[in-house]
Order: sequence, then structure tokens, then C-alpha cells
Amino acid sequence: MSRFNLPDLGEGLQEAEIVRWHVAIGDRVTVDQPMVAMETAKAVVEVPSPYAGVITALFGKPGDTIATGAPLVDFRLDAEVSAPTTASGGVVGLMPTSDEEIREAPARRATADGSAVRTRAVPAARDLARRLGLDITTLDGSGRDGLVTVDDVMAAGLPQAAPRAPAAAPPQQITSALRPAGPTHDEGELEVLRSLRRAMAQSMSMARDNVMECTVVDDADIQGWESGSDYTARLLRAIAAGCRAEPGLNAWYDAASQGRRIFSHINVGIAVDTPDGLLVPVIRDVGNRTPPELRDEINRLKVGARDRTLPAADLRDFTFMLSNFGVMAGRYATPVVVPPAIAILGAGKVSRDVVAVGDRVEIHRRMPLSLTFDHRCVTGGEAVRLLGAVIADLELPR
Amino acid sequence: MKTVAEFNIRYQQLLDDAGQPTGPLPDFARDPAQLHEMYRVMTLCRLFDTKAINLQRTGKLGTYAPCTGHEATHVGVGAAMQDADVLCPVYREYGTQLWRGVTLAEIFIYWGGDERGTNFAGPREDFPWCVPIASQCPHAAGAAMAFKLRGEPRCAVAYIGDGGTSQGAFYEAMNLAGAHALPVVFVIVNNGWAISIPVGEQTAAQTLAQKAIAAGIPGVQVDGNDVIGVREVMQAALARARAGEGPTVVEALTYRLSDHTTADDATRYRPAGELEAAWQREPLLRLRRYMESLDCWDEGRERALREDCTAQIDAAVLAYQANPKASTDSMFDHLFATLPAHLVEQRETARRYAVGHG
Repeated sequence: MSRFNLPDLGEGLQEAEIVRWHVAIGDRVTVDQPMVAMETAKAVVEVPSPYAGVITALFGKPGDTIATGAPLVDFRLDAEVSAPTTASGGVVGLMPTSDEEIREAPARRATADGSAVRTRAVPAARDLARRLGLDITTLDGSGRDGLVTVDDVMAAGLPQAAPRAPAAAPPQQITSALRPAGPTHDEGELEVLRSLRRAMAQSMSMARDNVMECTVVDDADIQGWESGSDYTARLLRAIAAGCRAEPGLNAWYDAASQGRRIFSHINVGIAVDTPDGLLVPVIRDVGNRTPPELRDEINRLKVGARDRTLPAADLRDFTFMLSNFGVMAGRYATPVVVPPAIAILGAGKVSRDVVAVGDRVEIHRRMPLSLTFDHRCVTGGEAVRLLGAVIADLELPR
Repeated sequence: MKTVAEFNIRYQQLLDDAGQPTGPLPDFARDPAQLHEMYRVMTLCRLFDTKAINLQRTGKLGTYAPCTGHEATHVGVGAAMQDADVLCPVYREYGTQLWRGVTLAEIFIYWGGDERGTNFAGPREDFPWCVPIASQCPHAAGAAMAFKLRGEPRCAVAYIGDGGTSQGAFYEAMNLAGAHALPVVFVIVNNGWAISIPVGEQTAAQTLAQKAIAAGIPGVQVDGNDVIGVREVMQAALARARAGEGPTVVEALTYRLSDHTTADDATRYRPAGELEAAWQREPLLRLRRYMESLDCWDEGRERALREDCTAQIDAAVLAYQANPKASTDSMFDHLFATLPAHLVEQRETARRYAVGHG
């Protein structure tokens, strides 16, 4: 398999958008055959195939943006094509090695008795030998019936072909950490982040650079919960209770204008972990919905998030965030606020804790909670009052 | 008021759009071997262009300036020059350069980002590609001045584009050449477009050749898609220069059938239909039709030529890719006789990185 990564199609371009594919998975393509039209910031350009072979994967559909250096097409190369530089993706491996051409211009090797022995070579090998100053009749052919191949000429000619290389330290290439490099023996291949994971990288960097984050942790004693209680629906209801107690955390902060917008409706973005990266579908108006309604909406969004079928409208305008990471593992965390929202509640793994009840010791189920807030526009007092209200709601039996 | 001076600009075309002679032709135009050689290099340029663009599109070559459409001008100029002459190119005159012995691999190496591609094994004294607009014109005037001072029977040939003729350096070079009667020819390749600026917006001048008049030197127009016409005009201009009669400006009228470079998209600014019309006048077909009318060309020869050119180009790709990468030292090697201390330090740092991260 050979992978073709999107090259820089202009001068220092970071990405390009797929306009249309001219090929499909399973198609057989030849070198230089038009493969895909890509639109960059400057131009729509046709990208030809660098290989001869069969297309085994296309990375993206029309409208998708592909980062420079990210995978674009996978090929299964034609078996008969030997590819001396497949690793570097060169076109060297695709030189035509046609038998027909061989018969056209045989060179002859004079033997001691004056008879001529035919040297068989492909025209490209012949021409390369001439350019490298090699006598093709002196080369041993490794191909069928002694055919001199391009590889044979390369093998024979490369030492002489590099007279300008410095005698001492051989030139080596600096591999930037930011550029995709070929796989080496002990490190994985650099995978350029795409789509959700890339968006996550950007929003997390933005959060780090902009938000003054402060996290406070506590536990909610849920020993009294009725069996079969819906964790996520309870958490949503508790958040609504918290926001009613402290509306200042159900808000957006606009640093540029140093202003905040406090919302009357509570739209909770729920962090969903997908193989492609973080997705945050939004449950709207949680304060005015019944638990069954919330459950239906949670299910719809979870399925949509997993299948990546959610419309953009389901992914924006959250006013508060919830990370229910405890369903996997972890008790406390410092969840990250994604601006312009200013608070996120993390719910950790419920565990059976030893607690003091009056003068006695009991074992209760408790839910660890971590609340991160943007201290630029929320006081610590406001935050812990919200947390207190969340806990009070969570500790109700139903 | 009375008229104190009058000028005119003449236009040369020896083969018309259909490849038919417009009048008597020079001897070389009746010699099949010479026609074949010109057509061979023109075809090589055309096929090389396609390969170079494909290499750029697959990440194996940097930005590339195509030459499709200019082959007759480039090859006509090359064929008129003598080996001892010196070429000061812009950046897409591969036809002239190939004619003079620059190799396909050297062109690839240069556009692959390696300046060693300009270290031509063939024409050792030809100037490298010149990306700054018009600066090659004073270079050519300077070289011509040297030839004159040394008493050498050599000429310099400078290329410039239609947009480049708006640059001060072009006027300064013409002025110097005219004032000293230098053996230099300035070839304006008027392909209609300075990247996205059409020539009609570039200047109010009716012709670009007439810009020579202000410098006191002759200016002539030629059909740049007519390789025979270009060669003939250039031979006359070079003969004149070699005889000590001074410089000439030749304006070759052609059309850029490609984008400006691989980083350009001409469909965004070129009027619809203009390109299709220009393809009807393209230079290769014109020469081919003429050769066919002389019965010295046919489909079999065409096919064989294309196969031969393709093999050469494929071999050049191999040679290009086999070219060893430059060492980091090369960044420091060619600017100072004695490298300043801070650059010595940087060179050492670069070496450490080259070894540590190679």
C-alpha cells in the first residue's frame, strides 16, 4: 500500500478543499492521470496520480478541507512495478519498463573476438547512463534476459553521480516536527490532526490562552437515590437548579468588550468522546424539560454524535457545559471551560465512600463533582453557591 | 511646428497561422534537419511542462513557471544565438536554455528548490534564472559592456516580459546599451499577461517594441508563435550587434497558454474564450503543418519524437531525484570570503541539527 499525502499546492498553503473526485475506490489509475480537483486559497488545481495502481482509499469528500501533509489517497501499487523509492513516494518506481521499446535501439558490446553482444536496456536506463557518464554496455542487467534497468544504472552510477556531495559528513535532512515525515523504525508516523480532533486542539489552545480557570471540587451523596435513576438527566436537572441559584454562571463572557450575557434559558453542552475527537452536542432549555424528555434528547444526540450525523445547529450555542467522564473512570478533574461559556461541571465516578452520619460511620454512594469557572467574570462565591445548589438538587431522592 | 523625427515599428511573420510561408524563407527554413531540431526542442519543452506541473501537484517540485505557448519564441532565439553568446533569462525560457545545453535535470533541480540547478554544466557563462523583474536587463547590458571592452565577438541576450517593460531597470539597461552601442539584444516576450494584468492595462503604448525608440535603438515586432520568423529577426539583430552597430529590442507577440505559475489560476481573471482562441495559433502545430507541407514530417515521426522526449524527461526526473540534498553548509558557503563569527556559529548549530535530526 502506498499513501499519497496532500502536498503544498501553492506557495506555503496550509490546506486545500476537495472540489471533486475524478476517481473512486477500486479504480485503476496510471501515473499523471487526473485524480482530484482541489481548491486552495488561490486556485483550483488538478492533482494527478503519482502512482500506477488501484485506489484503495479516498480521504474526504467534496467540500472537505484537507490539511497540507494529511492523507489524501491510498493505493495498491501494480505488482509488476518495482519501486526503489516507494518510501519517499517518488515517481521513480513508475518508470515504464516496456519490452517493446527495448528492441528498438540495441547497444552492442564488443567482445574480445570482435563479435557483438547485444546489451538490452530500457531507453530511460540508456539515457540515464549517458547522463551519468556510464557506458551502458559495461553494466550487468538484473532484469529479464539481462535487461539493464533504471535500478541497475542507479546502482552503478550513484557514487559517480554525486561528485558535488561533501566528502565528510553526508548531507542530512532536518525533519521539522511539524512536517509529516516518513515512518522510521522507532516512532509512529506523524498523523496530522483532522476535523474534530483538530478543532479540539484549536479550542483548547484558545481556552488556555484566554480563560482564567479556577476549579472547585466536592461530592454529592446520592445514597438516597431511587434505583434506576438516570444519572445524566439528574445532572442536567441539578445544573438547572444551580443556574437558577447563580444565573451569572449560565452566561457568555466577551473579553473584547469586557461584557457578559446572562441567559434565561439553559443550554447544556455535553462533551461526547468519539473516535474522531471531542464533540459537544447541545441539549436546549434543560430547565423546562421533564426527565423523560431529557433522556430522549440525550439518546438522540448520543447516536447522532457517534454516527456524525448531527446538524450544525445541534452543536452550537451552549451556555453551560457538562462532562460526565465518571462513566469511564476518574473521580475529580480540572475540566476546561470553552469560551465564550464560563462554566463546566465534571461528574466523576460514583463510588462507595465511608462517610460520617451523625456520630456513626456509614457507607454511601457519592458522586464526585468538579466545577471549573472563568474567574474573569465569576467570583469564587458565586461558583461555590452554584455548586452547593447542584449538590442539594442531586441529593434529593428523586 | 514641424516634424523633426519620425519612427515606425515593423512586424515580421514568415509562417502564417496555418503554417504557410508568407514569402521567401531563409535557407535554414528549407533544411529538414534544422526544422526537425527546432521542432524537437519545442516538443521537449511542451512535454516537460506537463511533467513539471504534475510533479508540483504531487509535491515533488516547488512552484514552477510553465512555458507552454512560448516555445517558438524561446527556440527561435536559442537557434539564432552562438555558443559564445550569453543568455540572461527570466524564469521560463527553457526552450532557449535547452537549445544552449542546459539539461532537463538542472531545470528540475532549480524548481525543486536547489540553487545548484543554476550551475549549468553546458553554457557555463549563461546567467541563472532571474525572479526579480527586469534586473536581468542591466546584467545583460553589463555583460555586453564587458564583451565590448575586451573586444570579444560575443553578444548578450536578455529576456523580459510585457509587464517587465514597465520597470525602470529595463529603460536604464536600454539607455546604457544605446548610449554605448553595446552588443546586446533585449527580447520582450509579450504573452499578453503580467500574471493577471493584461498588456492593455499595463501600458498605453501601442507596441512594446517602440519603447526602444526612446533609447535611440531599433525596435521590431515579430510573431512569437512563428519560430522561423523569430529566428530570422534574432539572427539579424545579433549580426548587427556583433558588427558593432549596437543593440536591438525584439518584441515577440505570443500568448501564455498556461497559468502564470503553478500557484496561479488564470481562469479567475482571463476572459472566457481568449485561451481557446490562442490555442488556434499555437506554435508547435504551425511548424508541424509547415514540415508536413514539405513532406519531411509525418505521424510516425511525431510519435517517435514524443516517445523519445518522454524517455528523456523520465530520465531527468530520475536524475533530479537522485541528486543528493545540499548540506546545511551551503547556506553559508557562497556569501563571504571570510565567514563572520556569528555565521560560523550558526553554521555549527545547523550542522548539529542536520546530524541530530537527520
